Amino acid sequence: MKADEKYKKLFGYVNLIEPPKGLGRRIVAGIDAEEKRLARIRIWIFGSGSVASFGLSLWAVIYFVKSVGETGFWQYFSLLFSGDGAVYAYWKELTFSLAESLPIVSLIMFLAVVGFFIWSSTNTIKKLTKLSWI
Amino acid sequence: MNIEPILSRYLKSVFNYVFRIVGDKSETEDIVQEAFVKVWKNLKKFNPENNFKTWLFTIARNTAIDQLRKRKNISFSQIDSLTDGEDEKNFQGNVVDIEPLPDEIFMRKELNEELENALSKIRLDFREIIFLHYMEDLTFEEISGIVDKPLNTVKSHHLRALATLRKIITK
Repeated sequence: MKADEKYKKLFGYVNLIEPPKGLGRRIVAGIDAEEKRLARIRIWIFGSGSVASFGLSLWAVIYFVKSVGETGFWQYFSLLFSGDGAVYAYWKELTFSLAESLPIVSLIMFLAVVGFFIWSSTNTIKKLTKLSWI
Repeated sequence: MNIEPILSRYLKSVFNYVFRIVGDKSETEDIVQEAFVKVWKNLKKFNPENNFKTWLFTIARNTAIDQLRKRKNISFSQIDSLTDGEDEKNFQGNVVDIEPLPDEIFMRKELNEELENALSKIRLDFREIIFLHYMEDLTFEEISGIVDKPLNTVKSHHLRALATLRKIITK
């Protein structure tokens, strides 16, 4: 018998200790508690994000509507529904004017804030649902 | 993520490993509990290409070492022996191979107690190498990954551990 195998045989005589009864259950309970704690933290973060982005969304809507009014975008846009034949004849010019008068900055801000609001609200709902399942 | 299959498969091994490091059952319980919570938290980060058992034991070991550091009555040299790089560079040159064991050792009635007693007398880092290699069937490469020491250091510690144990049990 090789020396290493002999030592393997020797240490086979060492009895392994049985973990205390209920330790497994306590570990599972500890993990559940940790899962709840993490879920609460995430709910708090996403919930705060939702509230903040909701307030910002209102401001972004007002700012966007105001910007649209100031740039004359509505005037060009309403021409599309006027039924005037000139709109079809000069559609290229009208498209350029629409693009030029579009308030890009306020539109991006509006979309970003609303997007963040939707994302954080969805996550809050998801985490709340998960928490109720734990 | 379901931790129960992992628990049923590895709880006993991890419990015994941590117990060999800290030497106190109730403290071992707390450490094992904390270690499994860490495992659950980091399960998504685990790379399936790596050895799960090695990863699990590494987490358990680090948790145990953190606990030992917090414990005030433990000598720092004991923790250092677990965390230090190498102190045995020249040892391997002195030991050519594992010394053979006399057969009459296996005839002893109280062999289990003798071995437990001998294991409790050797250095912490030696003890964990013996445990991982002989009781958990891990290779020296795997042990080297767990204890974060070079392979040659692990091998030389293994030989030194056996030499020390042999001395104790053949007295």
